[in-house]
Amino acid sequence: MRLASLLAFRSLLARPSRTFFAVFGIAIGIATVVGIFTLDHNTILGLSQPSGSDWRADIEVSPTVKTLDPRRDLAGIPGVAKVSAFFQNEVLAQLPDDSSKAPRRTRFYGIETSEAKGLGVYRVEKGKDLDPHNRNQEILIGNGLAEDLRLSPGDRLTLIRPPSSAKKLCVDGQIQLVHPDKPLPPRAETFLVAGILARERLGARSRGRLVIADYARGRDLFEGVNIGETFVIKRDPRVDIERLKMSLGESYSYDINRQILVGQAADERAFRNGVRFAGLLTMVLGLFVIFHTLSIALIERVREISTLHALGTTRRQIAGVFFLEACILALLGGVAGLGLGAAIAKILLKLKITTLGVGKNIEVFEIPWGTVLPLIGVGCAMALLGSVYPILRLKKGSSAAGLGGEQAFESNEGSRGFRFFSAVLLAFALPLLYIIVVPSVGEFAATFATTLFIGTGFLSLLVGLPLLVPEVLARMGAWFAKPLQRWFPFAGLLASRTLLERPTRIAVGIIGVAMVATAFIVLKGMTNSLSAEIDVWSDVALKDRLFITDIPDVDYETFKGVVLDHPEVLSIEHGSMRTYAPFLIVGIPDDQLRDYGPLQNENLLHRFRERRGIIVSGRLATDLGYLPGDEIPIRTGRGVVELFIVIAVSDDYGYAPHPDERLYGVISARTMANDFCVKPTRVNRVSLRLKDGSDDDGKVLADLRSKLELAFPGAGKWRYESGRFIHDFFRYDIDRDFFLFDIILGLSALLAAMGLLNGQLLSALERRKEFGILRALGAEPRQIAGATLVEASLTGIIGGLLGLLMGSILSPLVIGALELVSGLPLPTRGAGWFSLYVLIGSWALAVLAVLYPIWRTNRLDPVADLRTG
Amino acid sequence: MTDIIKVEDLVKIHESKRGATPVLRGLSFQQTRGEFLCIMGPSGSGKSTLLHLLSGLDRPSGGRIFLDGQDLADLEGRDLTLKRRRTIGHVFQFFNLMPNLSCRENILLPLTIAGQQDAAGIALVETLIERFGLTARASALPHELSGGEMQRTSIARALAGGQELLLCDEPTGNLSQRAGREVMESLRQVNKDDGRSILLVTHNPRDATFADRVLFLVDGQIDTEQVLKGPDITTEAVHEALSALSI
Repeated sequence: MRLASLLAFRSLLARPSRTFFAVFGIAIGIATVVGIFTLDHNTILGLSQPSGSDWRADIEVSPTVKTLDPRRDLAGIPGVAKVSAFFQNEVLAQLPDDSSKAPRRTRFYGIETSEAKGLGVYRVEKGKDLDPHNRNQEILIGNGLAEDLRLSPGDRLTLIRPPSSAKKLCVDGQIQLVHPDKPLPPRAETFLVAGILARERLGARSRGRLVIADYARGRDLFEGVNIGETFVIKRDPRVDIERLKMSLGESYSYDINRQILVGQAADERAFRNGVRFAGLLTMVLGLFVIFHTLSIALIERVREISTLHALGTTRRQIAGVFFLEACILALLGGVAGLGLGAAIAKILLKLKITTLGVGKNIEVFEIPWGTVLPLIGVGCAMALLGSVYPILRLKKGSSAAGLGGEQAFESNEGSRGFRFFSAVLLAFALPLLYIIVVPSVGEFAATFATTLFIGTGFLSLLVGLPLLVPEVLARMGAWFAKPLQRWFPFAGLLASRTLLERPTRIAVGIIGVAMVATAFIVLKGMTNSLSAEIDVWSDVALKDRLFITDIPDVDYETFKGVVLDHPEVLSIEHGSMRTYAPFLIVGIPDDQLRDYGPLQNENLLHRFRERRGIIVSGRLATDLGYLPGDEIPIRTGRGVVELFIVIAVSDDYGYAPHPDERLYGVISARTMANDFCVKPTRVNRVSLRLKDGSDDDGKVLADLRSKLELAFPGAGKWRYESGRFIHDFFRYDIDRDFFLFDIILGLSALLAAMGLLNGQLLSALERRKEFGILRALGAEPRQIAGATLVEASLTGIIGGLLGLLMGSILSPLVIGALELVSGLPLPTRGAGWFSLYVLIGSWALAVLAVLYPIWRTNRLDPVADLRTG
Repeated sequence: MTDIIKVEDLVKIHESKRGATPVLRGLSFQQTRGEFLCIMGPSGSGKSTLLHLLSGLDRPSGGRIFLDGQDLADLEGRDLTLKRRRTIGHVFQFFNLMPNLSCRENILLPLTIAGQQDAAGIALVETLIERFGLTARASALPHELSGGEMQRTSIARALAGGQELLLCDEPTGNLSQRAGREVMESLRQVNKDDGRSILLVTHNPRDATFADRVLFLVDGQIDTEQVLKGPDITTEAVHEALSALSI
């Protein structure tokens, strides 16, 4: 160990540039994935920070009348982890021995004691929790109530059911006070205070003035009171939210806590999984760098190792030196990667770049150690695996040759067995390890699994095949080099010979470039397809539209009169009649909808107006699996669940910007008024349908603005946006959101460049004798540099071309999978002209990466090289 | 007294893609314990190959090598390494010092390798440093030493492990005449004072005069006709022998 530590430390200190490149390579690989996961963790945490510390169930559901045993039914639904019956009401609290004081109005919650803990509803601060086996007459009280009445655990408290009162309900379009049929007399019961709640979650409500009792006991206390049947659900995060919503949607009206939806929408999951997959690319490239760096260590120290061997050092001891070096490099790289990754995440958050798009302000920052530490472990394990390569080569080395300064180890090509080992490691073992450490976001559904396997399959193909049969790529390179020999006879000849003599090194370099090029091509294909989807959707929802928002609640009929008076305006969509149950529902007067879209059909129009017909947007239909004819249970303002019938799936109606919501349903203004008591009398946002091409015409907008200004002074300050403007913004937003991918791929490109740099440096060191001879024969340093540049150019161009080919094959598959996962109808688009930039970029990357090796080669002493090799 | 080295019909053929090249063709000789033996031969005669075979760094194609009475063919892997570690010290033409270790650390290296870096070992190293006139340079790195200093460090390193046999491959080949003489005198001193056996391969007649016996390697074999011993070994005699062998 002493020998290993002495030699390892001295070697690392004596070769600072190699040590730096090795640590930097490992650090960049680890930093990228650590950065991604820290960013994702904080994105989700920041966007789902609850307001205050109140408790809300993940999902609250109300069954329809047709559900016989909802408790049991809900427990069997995939995605429901915990379920409990739940209700709340007002109660009067009084000390049993002090009836002189007026009872205090307090909030009462009934929940199934056995499930409360699993749902994380409250925390008991003092005393004990409700005993599920002995729940009679026990309650928990909030600390506000405990302070008011000076109650401690073990005290008694009388709860009095208040006299039943009238409720405000929406009945036939009118808000009415509905009185109970039979007024109930007050009823009092005395309970034992089991514990006092901490002022957090449910315990924080009503400033701590609350009581929690077992659901069944609560029902007894409120016997005869009309309490709606409600259940609270804790979601199982392993099941996609869409599947859960689809299952619930059949028989329940539900209200989802928006906090749990952050990052869980299908398109968000796709984006986040894409970012995670990009992390795998950097890991593979990181390993690629480490292989080369440690191989350089071996080649540089041929004579040193042979001498040690001659002095009686066992191969195990020498391997120990390399292993210890790898451990130190891995450790330094891991620590640097952690720091760098955290810094990357912090900077990105500061720049408002998140894993859910750009422009989101995240206040929190913490490092998810649970994910980050195993990731660093994977990175360090990779570095150690990287040391296997030189150790294996060491085993086959000839010390006798090394002492004479000759080629002591087989060239950098490695044996076929080792190449097979590398291919398996890079193509299967590493992706598998990565996928184990980094679980996907959401359900491991068939679609996602297929995409993942296809992606990993292609990665394997790209990485594995050239490692197994490197000659194919090398021959291709030599073939490309031939014509170059006409212009650069010496450089071209030298480069083509090198390509043929060292096929593995060349193939590995080409793979590195190709992987990055493929990723860029696929990414561009994805963004182009998402943009094309915006084009298709905007043709229906945005084309020839003018959206006016920030209107200060004006009279709708007057507004309508003014705008419809303009010859270019065909119709107006009222945008202010809105309710959420459980998705956005927009009410629009049907008289304005009959001239376009599905409501041109008289039959549909009739069902829309008279029979609770609903038109669902394309994205909502895909998201929740709605088809025309389906029934959607929705809780109305009357407090009952009614069934709405899907009469069409269309994006023709109802879109309004700010906030942009493409998951919504449209019902007639009349139904909205009847069922939810939301009336179209006032308006604060509208969408105007214009004649063809009018939204391009600034004159129409100016006319309308001045007309509205006349009717509504101050209208000039309202927000006017044409459909084209919104369309252009959406397209810009896609590019902006995908900027994070550009950053990750930029880091990957850096790693690929470092791999090339190391590979070329390794080659230069291996060939120092050859270069010495060439120099002795009169070759100028720039001629030798020329050969390296030709070699690098060919590596870059072939890598780029291979990337274009693989990207073109992979793009439609990735886009198809994205379409299935996100539910967006994505037209398949290629990278277009961007492919040319990728090709040029690949070439430039390869050329830039060899500048340092060229500099090092030129600094080699030809005399020493000739004398000692 | 047993021989420190006994070589019988040693054959070494270098195999390559272009075919087989015989380097040693049935070479035989012995070296007695405490003897300073010199083997001379022209470049490419197989001198270095012979040393690599004797130290077990390379394997013969035929014949047998007995090192300190042990047939090297019976040893493999770790056992062979340990045999080398315990029996042989190396002195190379190009010194082969560890570039990152100081002069003192290089001398200590065999003990570090063997895990014997105790007080006695360190004291021995200090003695060697003093003996070879390296006291002032003990903390210097190899690239800060002169050629002679590097080679003296190399000899000190070869002695530090207490090995009985020193294999010296052209130890003066990379040194000035004066430095070369100093190195050879050091080796002679090591042989006489410490009783270490030395096998020197060289093509320098002056170096050969320090040996007890000189053998000539020609075409992969020892020429049994031309053997110089004891007082017969003079520079002129060596030159004559070389001329007779057309070397």
